[in-house]
Amino acid sequence: MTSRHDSLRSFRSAYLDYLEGARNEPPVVEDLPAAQRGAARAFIESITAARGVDPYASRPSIEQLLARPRQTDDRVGDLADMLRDHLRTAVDSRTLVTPDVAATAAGLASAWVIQARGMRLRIVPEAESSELSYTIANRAEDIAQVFSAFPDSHAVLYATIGERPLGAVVDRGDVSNAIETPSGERRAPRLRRTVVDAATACEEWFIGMIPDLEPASAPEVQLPTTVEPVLDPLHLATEVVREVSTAGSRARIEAKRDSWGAFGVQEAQLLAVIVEAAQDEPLPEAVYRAHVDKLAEIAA
Amino acid sequence: MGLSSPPFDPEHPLLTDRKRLDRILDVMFATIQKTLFPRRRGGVRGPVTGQSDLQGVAEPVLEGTGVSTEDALAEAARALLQFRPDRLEGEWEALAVRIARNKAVDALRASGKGLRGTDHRPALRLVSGDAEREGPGGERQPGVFESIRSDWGDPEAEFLVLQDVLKLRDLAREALNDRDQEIFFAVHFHGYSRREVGQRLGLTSQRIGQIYSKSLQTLEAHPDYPFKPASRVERPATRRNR
Repeated sequence: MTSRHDSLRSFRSAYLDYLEGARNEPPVVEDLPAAQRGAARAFIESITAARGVDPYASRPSIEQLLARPRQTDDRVGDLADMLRDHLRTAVDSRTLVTPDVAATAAGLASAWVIQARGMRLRIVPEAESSELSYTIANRAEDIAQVFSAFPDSHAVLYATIGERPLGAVVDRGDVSNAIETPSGERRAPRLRRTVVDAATACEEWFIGMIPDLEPASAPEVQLPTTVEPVLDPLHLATEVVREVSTAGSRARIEAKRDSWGAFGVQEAQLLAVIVEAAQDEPLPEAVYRAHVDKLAEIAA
Repeated sequence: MGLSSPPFDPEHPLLTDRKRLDRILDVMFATIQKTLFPRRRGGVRGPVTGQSDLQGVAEPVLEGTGVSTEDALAEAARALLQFRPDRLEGEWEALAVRIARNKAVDALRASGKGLRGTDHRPALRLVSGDAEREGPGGERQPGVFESIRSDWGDPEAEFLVLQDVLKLRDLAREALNDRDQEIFFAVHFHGYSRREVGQRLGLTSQRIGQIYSKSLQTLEAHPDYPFKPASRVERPATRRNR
């Protein structure tokens, strides 16, 4: 009995020496008598499993745990920042990524909204280590609620947070149960697209949706303030005379057709003089009358 | 927002069976402790450093994140309760171990990135997930990030063995006096060397070894001892006779 205890005690002591770094190799269980090997293995299993467990730690209750603040919200923001930077470079320099205030207020899963190339993509984040291919089955209902609440959402980016975020873009149809053919079995929702890094998933989706139909940068729009404020009097007068002449040519009255239809360059030039004079300063009536009389004389 | 949005179903089977939920949470807690602050061979106590006594004085947290075992457990508990029962394959216990491992790894990955300060929790002690990459002889030891997955086995088996560890802890509390309990926990759970324990308690390492061995014999003789050889089921994935 004493011998049995001694050999097992020696084994344990040797194993502790090994754990403490005093031995390079652990003692061999098979060197013990057969009757003691089970106890030796149980000891190794016990001490291996116990290492790292704090025997003094007191676990909080489930109520206390659920009341703790979340640790992940900052990291969702990091994901949004990363996506904005990437999409502005790769897809659309005007990409906006904004907190999804409406979804938050409604208690929905969407955390951020991406707007680029006229499309709207909502982000539903998932914990870093999640296997999205599997967790989609559990989150499909949440994503479906996002689509239902926001009909203007073109798709949802289902992505993990963390240092290397992964993701896949989910379409409306992806979050519905499907009936398989030919078996007719009901299949739970699943990701149709491959899970890749979140930035690539977004970029490929945007480019796939709007290939090259819409330019990434719109042409410069000339605002009213940049238009030349001074009219060209000759151009204006020519246009007016042309309209009068055209109207005269179509007149049924022969006299009108002859007179109006004959209006041309001379009348336009004289009319331009009147307009130009009126642009610089108020045109005295006497001067105006003189111009009109001259114009009537030429036309006659 | 986002991650916190799915509500808990009050009819969730784990919320209606609180004893089972408590057992599961206990094991999740132990899993997270082992992953975040492992004790490794060579008298090295993982990333937890500078403890002033054998029982520890503060809740350790990961550097740069302010994340503690309790924080990681809170995340894991939420994830477990948000998992829809109709999607469950296997047992809740195995799922719980997988979730606990993943949440602990999330916390490790986030450590050292300065994502959260610790000003709001000044009593916490900072430790690094990258700490102690050299053994006592200067030899290289696997870092936490390298080793966390190598110890992982079948989650269902791990649940059972960790449940036995917790039973052993409870039995030690019941069957050993305060001094023997402290020595047993320091060597068996915390991974202190017998020499370190002796120095703290003013005893020789040989004496500590004797007390530890005697305590183990006391526990083994108890009818509720969970690691009885006859009751052990072969679990190759979790038996790592290194």
